[in-house]
Amino acid sequence: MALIRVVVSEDGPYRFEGEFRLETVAREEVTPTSSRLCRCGASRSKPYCDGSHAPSGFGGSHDQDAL
Amino acid sequence: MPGPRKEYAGEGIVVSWDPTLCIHVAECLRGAPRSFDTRRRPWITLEGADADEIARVVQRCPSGALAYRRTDGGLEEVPADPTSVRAVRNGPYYVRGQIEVVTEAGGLLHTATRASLCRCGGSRNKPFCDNSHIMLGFRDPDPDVPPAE
Repeated sequence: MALIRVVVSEDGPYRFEGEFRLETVAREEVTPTSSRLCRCGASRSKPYCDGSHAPSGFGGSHDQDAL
Repeated sequence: MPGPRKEYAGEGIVVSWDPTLCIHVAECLRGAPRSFDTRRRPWITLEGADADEIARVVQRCPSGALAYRRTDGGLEEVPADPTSVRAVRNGPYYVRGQIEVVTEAGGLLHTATRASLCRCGGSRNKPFCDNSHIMLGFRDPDPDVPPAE
């Protein structure tokens, strides 16, 4: 059984450790080109992280709203 | 964060529900309306329900708020393999597989076979979805509109 470890970086993206299939919002199944997926909502390359969490001042604590 | 799970016993199966993870996708209400009915208290009653059918319906729950264990030797849930991660339009990620959610420092936050993870940045239950994307108006780019320069 293949374990997937989802590493929640503090004020940044999810990092998926392990193999996974990715389904886009268009319902297309793709082989992911990065294991770093956006969790701040601001990336312009969704679902991948493009570093936008830093300029957008994203706070990843569990009870924080988006800025 | 996940909270304590409430348990509901039926014949051959025990269903558990974590209200802090439930995002009301309602697969259970549609799949087995006699057993899952939010107009009733308790809202889960498994009397007379078929354990295999309940297990099938519980496995549709994308947040992992619902889980089950069998008490009749029936098949336990098998995690999806390979893992699938679905970016839901204007919503969270649905993850299916043998999942471990950990902090950067390696602290274990959650283990599950199904999880809905915040993708809008606004959840107050990060890293889990709490439907804040609706209130915040989180929108994926319209596929029919070319991206702005």
